[in-house]
Amino acid sequence: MIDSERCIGCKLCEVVCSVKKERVSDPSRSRIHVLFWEGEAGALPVFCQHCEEPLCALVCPVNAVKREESTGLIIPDRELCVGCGGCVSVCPLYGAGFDGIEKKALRCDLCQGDPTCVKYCPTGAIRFADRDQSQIDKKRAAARKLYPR
Amino acid sequence: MKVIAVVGNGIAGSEAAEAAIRVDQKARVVLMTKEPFPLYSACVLADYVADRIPVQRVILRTAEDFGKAGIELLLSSQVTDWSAEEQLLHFDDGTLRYDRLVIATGSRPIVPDLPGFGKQGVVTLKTLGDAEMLRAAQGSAAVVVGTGPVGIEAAIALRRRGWTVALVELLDRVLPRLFDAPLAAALKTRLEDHGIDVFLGERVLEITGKTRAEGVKTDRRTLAADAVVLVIGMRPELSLVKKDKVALGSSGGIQVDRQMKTSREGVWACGDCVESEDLITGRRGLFMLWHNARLQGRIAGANTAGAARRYPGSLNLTTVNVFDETAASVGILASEVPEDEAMVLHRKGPWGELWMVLKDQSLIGVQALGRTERVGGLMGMISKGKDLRKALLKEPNSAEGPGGWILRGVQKDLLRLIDAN
Amino acid sequence: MALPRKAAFVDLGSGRVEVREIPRPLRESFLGGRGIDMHLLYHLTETNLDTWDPGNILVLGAGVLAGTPAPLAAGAIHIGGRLPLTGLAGSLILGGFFGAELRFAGFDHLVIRGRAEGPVYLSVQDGKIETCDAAPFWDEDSLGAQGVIRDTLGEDNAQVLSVGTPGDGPTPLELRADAVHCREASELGLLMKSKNLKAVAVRGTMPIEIEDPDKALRCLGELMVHSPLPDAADQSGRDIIQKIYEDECLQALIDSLGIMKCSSDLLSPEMQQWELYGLLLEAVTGLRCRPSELMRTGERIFNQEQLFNIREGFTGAQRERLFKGHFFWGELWPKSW
Repeated sequence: MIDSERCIGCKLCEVVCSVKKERVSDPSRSRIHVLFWEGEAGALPVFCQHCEEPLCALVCPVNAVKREESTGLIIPDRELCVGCGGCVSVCPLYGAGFDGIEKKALRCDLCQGDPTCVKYCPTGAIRFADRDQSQIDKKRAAARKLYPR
Repeated sequence: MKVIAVVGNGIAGSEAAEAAIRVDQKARVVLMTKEPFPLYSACVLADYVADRIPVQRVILRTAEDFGKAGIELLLSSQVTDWSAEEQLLHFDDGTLRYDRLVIATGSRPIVPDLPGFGKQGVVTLKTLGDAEMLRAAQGSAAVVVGTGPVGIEAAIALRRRGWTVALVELLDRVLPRLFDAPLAAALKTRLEDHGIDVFLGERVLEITGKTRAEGVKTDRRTLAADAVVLVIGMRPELSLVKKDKVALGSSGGIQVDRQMKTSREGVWACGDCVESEDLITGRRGLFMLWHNARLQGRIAGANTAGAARRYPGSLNLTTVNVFDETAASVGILASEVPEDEAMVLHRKGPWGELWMVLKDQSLIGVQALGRTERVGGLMGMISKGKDLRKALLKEPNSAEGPGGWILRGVQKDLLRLIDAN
Repeated sequence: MALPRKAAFVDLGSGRVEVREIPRPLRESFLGGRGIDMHLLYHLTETNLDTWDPGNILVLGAGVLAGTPAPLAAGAIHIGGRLPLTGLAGSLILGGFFGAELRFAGFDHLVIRGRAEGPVYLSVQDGKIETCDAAPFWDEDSLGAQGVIRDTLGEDNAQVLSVGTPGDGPTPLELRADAVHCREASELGLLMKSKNLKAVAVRGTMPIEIEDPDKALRCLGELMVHSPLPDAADQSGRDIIQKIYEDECLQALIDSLGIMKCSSDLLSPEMQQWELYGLLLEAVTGLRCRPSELMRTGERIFNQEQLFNIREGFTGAQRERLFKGHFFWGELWPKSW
């Protein structure tokens, strides 16, 4: 869940996500990114929204991007992934990360239910809410934009 | 018991079979392919040729997988004839009567009428069998004819294996259906930097040699070639539907409605063999891409079993890997639009290039070399008939996606371009 | 061992760039940011240099915690140089993400000397530094220049430090790190512009090693629990901020770490944050930092700065007067003057 009014663009979420997942500070391999506007428009954290009809899963040429049964999350299978970057090019939300070193797709996996970015966000701009209705509305809105009919 | 027959085990046929059995567990779903392998990904054959992945990662389903899902898989079972009125499929060793049929025969490589085509060492790269042949090929010099994504990736794969590689393209740039001149030129440079010779605007006249290929003669030169890979394009595989059994669209693909139904009752079609409508531009054509085939298959399959799902349209987005870089293209190219109607915006930087195509007030195409997430991020802003100015001047928020953010640096220039028109 | 990192030395006149590794003992004594910047300023400025001599250096220093799990990612950038109008050692912190981005680009410090022949900006990316033409937008204000640079470089994620021209003549200029973090009336901005340097743009995707990632995250978590951002709207918050501003050694220390003074969690009634900061610093960098050592480091940095001023010929009392005048420059008289 994102409250973009509160985001101050400090990018600590990018740092701690990569430290947690990759053991070094490397925002390019972070699963969350902050889009920062100049002026008053502020900042917007973006990460995988685990869409109901994920384009990334559709595009994967080896069907490596699947919905995890236990969590309902969209997670690429690291073993199967061939690093083609198709999912990165197709995600309309800047949600698909990519490990440029190992050439593997990356997704926010909500850190087993205890998201690191939420923990360290200084202003509470990122919050964790399970199956929130606003999430579903947001996904529907995004999906509607892509599939207008 | 309803018998649902699916002809073709590419991703479209595979998804169709799986969707059908999911909707109607009691149906008898028979999935047949003329190949000896079950579902595999044609997209990663180049990686297999380059020895970057083992064959187990090319093949995506085993016969066992299909069995567990309740699907009967018939390998090496080519349909020799189709009696459409009687609802019968004929094989070498028998027939199958069906209640519903899904045609998912995919596409076949366009084979040029070339002298010397039948020589040893001349291959296409469409099937796993082709890939095996290429892997086993002996020699040191290869010529790849055609610079579509398959050709580019084939050339790279062979180069990685240490072959001397030359690419020959009829048109004036590489990847001509995906990239306009500037990005195509950048990609050509990348290929040449890695030792691949690229010859543009050349026509292949003949493959020389006795029984084995020895060279390729173009209208300008002769290139040594122990292996010749012919990858000049794909056509829908329609041998099953000869004699007008189902209506075809003007692009040559099977005509289907939004529910993937053909003109014949009880017959659906999906995948490379169909003509579909582009989601963004609305134009009808062949959009022979993995994700389109997959979604079409899912919908066709579900509908044979009684559902009434509708296909939203094909997404004309392709991603290409050129050595360590990735490039992507979506929508319409500037070169596809009459010259005085298209406007373009080009940005270059150390992390790649971005190329945007505009017509009237709309963004109609995006091409990127490096940082390809920009292509997806801008998808929401691409639409024929949608005024880009409105989208540019909107407040940013998460439901809108990152399009406005990506364009904030070039906002002024874009507005100027649109207003000047 | 997590630390070894680089400093780049750029000569705008010749265009030469030399890169050196920062020695560990220097880290132990001065940490980073303002600490190392002041050390460099002292040693690299010749005595009695004329005000506008191109030999005067401008130093940009990322805090030693920049781009690591620290409050606000410690992204602030420290800028140091000899103030052209007063002659004192100048030190300025601009918040934002510039310092962190500089480190991701592979450099912790940038030392800029000389004067470029024409208007230029520096482009720092993943280990490379290039001088680029800034003539087309030399007259743009600081924020506008940033937009042009991002567009020119085709890099919308670049962080830019830019200088702008709100008026004519040798009045101090605006020095800006991003839309929010800007210092109007900055003498250091004037110094930068006198070198024909319009901006420094950075973009980096190189990782920063963390000595003990789990421990670092744990320390950060504890820090955030124990000390929320002091609220300047309430009295105790103002007391904390006031205390920091009065204690120069503490300021020097904070500026070397890269954290923001206003968000400094260092001060709280319990003072236990010193321990936590020491632990965090150790977990991130591998440097051993007990609170008392940290305090001494702050003093050391402050003294280094004073040594510079003394060498320039300022007595303590003069310095006191000038310093106060400089620090509150923006408020002392209206901008229209």
